[in-house]
Amino acid sequence: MTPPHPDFRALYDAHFDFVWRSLRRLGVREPDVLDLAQKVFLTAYFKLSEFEGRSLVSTWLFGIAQRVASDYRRSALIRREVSTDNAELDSVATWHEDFSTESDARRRARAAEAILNKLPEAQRTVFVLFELEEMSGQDIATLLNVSVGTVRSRLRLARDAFRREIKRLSAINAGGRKEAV
Amino acid sequence: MADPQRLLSNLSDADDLERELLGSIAQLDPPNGARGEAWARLSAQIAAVALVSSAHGSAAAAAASTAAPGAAGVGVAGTGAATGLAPLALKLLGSKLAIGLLVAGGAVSVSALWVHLHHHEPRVAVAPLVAASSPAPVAGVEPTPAAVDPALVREPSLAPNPPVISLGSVRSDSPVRASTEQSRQDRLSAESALLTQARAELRNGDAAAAQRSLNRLRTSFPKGVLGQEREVLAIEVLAAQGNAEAARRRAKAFILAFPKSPHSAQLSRFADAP
Repeated sequence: MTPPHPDFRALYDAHFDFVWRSLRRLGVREPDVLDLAQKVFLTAYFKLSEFEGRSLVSTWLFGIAQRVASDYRRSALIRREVSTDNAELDSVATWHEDFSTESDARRRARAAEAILNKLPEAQRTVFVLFELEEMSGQDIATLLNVSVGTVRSRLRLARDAFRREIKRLSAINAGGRKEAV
Repeated sequence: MADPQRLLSNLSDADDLERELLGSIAQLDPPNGARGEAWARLSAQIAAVALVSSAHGSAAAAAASTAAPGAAGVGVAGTGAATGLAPLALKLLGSKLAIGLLVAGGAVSVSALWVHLHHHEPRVAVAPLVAASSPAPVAGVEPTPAAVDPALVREPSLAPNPPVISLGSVRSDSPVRASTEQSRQDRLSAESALLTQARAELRNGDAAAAQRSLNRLRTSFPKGVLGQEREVLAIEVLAAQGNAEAARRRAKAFILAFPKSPHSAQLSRFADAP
């Protein structure tokens, strides 16, 4: 069966959620995601002729999203809209009972996001691609133009940092609860 | 060597808390309506640029004519469907954007296209609703809070005897044209970035900073492609600064000037406010 002629709208519809999620996972704050998703697709539109079909469209879009998010984080860091300050992140990432009226899921997502914000960008990208996008090490290596060994090394470092941070925050929470009692 | 088990997998050595936190990010989804909203803005931008490109010998058209054969047969992840980004599709995108995306998006700014099409033409008569003697812009000050930016008011319905545009009259293979097109895209990118910054500043509650960015936008891109978006944001800034009456007047002026614009529906909340 001949597939229907695709158009850009179809590509957009099929990948909007993916791009939105990717940008969030790459550290773009929720109020800014829509603007940046628009930027990703605008770039994709004008770069369409350069796409050679050697990878999935989603992989290609992720590459654009990664660059857009990287620029955003650089400028957001300058404007201090995204923090890497430990104390500040801890206040977001802790989850004491009295922390918030938000739903548990949202609170957990914020905590996880704060932890990811502490990872160096290269490690974070590999971590997100492997753990959340479920890409293979080889595909990640191709996308990022690095060796598989480098991917695994970054993943290991990112995992260690992720786990270390969770343990640290768990300890803070435990301390907070003890003080509250 | 095989990849390690993913932390979210039951086969990994991750503990419950690690899985729980990671899983919470895995479940992030865009809010309702986000896709449509982004498409409305995106299609307006694309259509405006592509129509100009068609008129002036565009990179889009050039891209369509030289589309890489490898673009065909691309797997679309996420849906699992196979999608072919064939050269034909690229040509369709290039040549039919003016109409196709307008229809498909359902929310494309006709007036933005008009402004862009007449980028190099003498200004047409300004509609009566625009203040006849608008003061010169002063840094940090909105020039005409009660009327839309005069540079924007060149919608077909407001212009006397709009000229006929021939989309096929310019060759697309000229290096000079390609260079001009690149420059145009660079300008659009810069304009878009500044607008995004202003919007982010407003969302962060810094209306003054948003106002400054808008002023820079107006100065740097007086005939920008995103003129309507700039105007809409300027109205939102006015409202955020507590200047509800000025926001209302300017929203009304915008709706009068651009009745077909998708932004007009959005602005009716200002215009109809008591």
